[in-house]
Amino acid sequence: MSVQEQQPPAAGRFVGARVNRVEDPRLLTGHGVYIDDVRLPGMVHAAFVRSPMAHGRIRSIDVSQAVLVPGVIAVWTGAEINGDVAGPLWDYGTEDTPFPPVTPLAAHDVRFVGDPVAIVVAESRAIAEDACELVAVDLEPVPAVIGRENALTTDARTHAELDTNVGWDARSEPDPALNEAFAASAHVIERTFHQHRHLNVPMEPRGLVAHWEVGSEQLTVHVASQGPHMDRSFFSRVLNIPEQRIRCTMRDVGGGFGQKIFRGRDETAVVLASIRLGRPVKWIEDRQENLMAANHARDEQMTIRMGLDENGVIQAVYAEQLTDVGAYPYMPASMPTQLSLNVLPGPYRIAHYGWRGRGVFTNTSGIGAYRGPWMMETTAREMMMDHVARELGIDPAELRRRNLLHADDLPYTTATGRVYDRITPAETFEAALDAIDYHGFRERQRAALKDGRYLGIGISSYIEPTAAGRGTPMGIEAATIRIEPSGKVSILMGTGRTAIRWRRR
Amino acid sequence: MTYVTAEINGRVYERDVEPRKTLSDFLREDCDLTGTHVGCEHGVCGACTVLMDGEAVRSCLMFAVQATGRSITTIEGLAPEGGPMTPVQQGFMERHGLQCGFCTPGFVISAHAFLERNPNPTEAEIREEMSGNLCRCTGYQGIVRAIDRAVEIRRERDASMVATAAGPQDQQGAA
Repeated sequence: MSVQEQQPPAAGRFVGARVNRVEDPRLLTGHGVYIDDVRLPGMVHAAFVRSPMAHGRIRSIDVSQAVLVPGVIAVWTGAEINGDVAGPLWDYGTEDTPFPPVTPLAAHDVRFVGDPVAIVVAESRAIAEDACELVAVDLEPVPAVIGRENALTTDARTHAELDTNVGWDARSEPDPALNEAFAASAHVIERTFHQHRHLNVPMEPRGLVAHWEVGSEQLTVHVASQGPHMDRSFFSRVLNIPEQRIRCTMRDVGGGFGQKIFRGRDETAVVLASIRLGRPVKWIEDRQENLMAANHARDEQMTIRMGLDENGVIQAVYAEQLTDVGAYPYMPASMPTQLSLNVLPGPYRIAHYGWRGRGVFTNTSGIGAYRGPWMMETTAREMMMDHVARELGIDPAELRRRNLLHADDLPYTTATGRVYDRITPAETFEAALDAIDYHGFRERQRAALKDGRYLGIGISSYIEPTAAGRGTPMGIEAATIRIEPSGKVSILMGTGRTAIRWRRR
Repeated sequence: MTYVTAEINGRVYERDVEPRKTLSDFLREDCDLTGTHVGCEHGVCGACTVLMDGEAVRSCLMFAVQATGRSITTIEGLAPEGGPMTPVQQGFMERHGLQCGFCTPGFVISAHAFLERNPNPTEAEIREEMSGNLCRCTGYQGIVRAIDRAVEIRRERDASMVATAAGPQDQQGAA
């Protein structure tokens, strides 16, 4: 059979076609169901008293006025509810990577602005906020650790339990060939790149409605999440409740960008409140809380040393990354740094590569995921390519062209052990240059410069890993195939209601 | 508690509310109209935009009591229940003007009020008018195209209404 006789694959109906999304009509007519739209009978509302101080010892917490506010149901401090969990919320510590004890609420000291000190539950969010203002927290200031490099040298400690601010410090295996490659390089260029702290700022802040049913001893958590299966595993572990008695469910989510992957300390406190009260408790974060206390991201610097021969062909790369992970990072202190250093070689032929990575704790909001938390590697590497091109007097596209992987390099194993195959870095790169008429742009740029106008163009090429499958902390998803009483077959996947609706059509 | 009576989406609501309650909380909590979203609670993001007597307003910056005697349209009431979507809603669907949908009700209401005032805007005017609403799913290009498409749909609709109005005469002539 010739190629022409083959039928186009079924997917051909959709690839490249303009397809209307099935969820749009309900979202466009106000019938989406976001977390704050979830309302259960008997539901009450939580608000948090948070630290206004980056680092302070809690001398006392006086809730006597707050509990008198009409409509207030409960006010709890860390001393009262932290014992309700089975262990540390995030247990990322190992022998080589110290990690602070993570409790739902701060108990003895506060470690960042926004650190939750007490939870107030009331008939309405407004009443809960009124009562929060009446909780008197007496704090004694403690020197705060602020800044990546300062964290390495200061005598102050982010966490009193740890004798260091360094949560992770690792290097690649010593490699004499790397040193030789640098020594043999015609050019060795070094630059440091800084990336400021990012905030995810989804339009919909975080939130959840936790519902512990006393009779059936079932916990249902409606949550603005990016992975309810992972949430269920989390609550099962920290509450010591079997998975099958927990249901975590999410409907429409108003953006997450990584911030809604991991469940937080405050979110855990809301679940504990529901268990203590035996009724649904809702917490919807306000924008102030979201900016202060939800996870931050990035906040890192990377120094790259690159050795090249006289033709601009890369011989060796050494990279050092330092990341400020805040007080309570939502992931191991190594994670964003380790990932970015691992994928740093990207789409280039780099035979010799070495690295060192460090993550430091500071008295700031903990970092978490943000739209590819390892993005530093691409930013720093591609800026480095531009610096090197300028220094060597080579066009930045040409410098990349001389170093990009080609079809005949494949399969290719990077210096960090990642195997590439069936990829087209060089071909994609040339197609992009053609699409934007790179050559023509340079001519227009030169012409514009004569008129005193500055035109610019940026080039970036990268390869990033995609989401992991089941079996890693970030890849937990299930699918169900069900035969309905009518005989129809339903396939339930992570896309939830959208998929079900599509099947019906 | 203060008595509030307002016409919302063509229906009269009478409620007793705290004087400090915002219009957005009133719509969501007291009227069960949760299509109006609250993103910042201080007038920056525009997600809570509703029509008050035909004018786009930030419902988080108004008190519920200020709605007394006024006529309000929320996202739920923009298109008739079960009827076709408005040109703006249709434009958003056809040109991918939304991703997560949280900011969308505010954008749709703002765009609706804008096109009522200015049915033939330039792209620059669309961008200027929509600058009071925030989207975080990087949707601005799609949103501008969506509103541009809504302008087209309104034109097509108006043209077909003219044609329909002219239709019976033609038929009479034929008969």
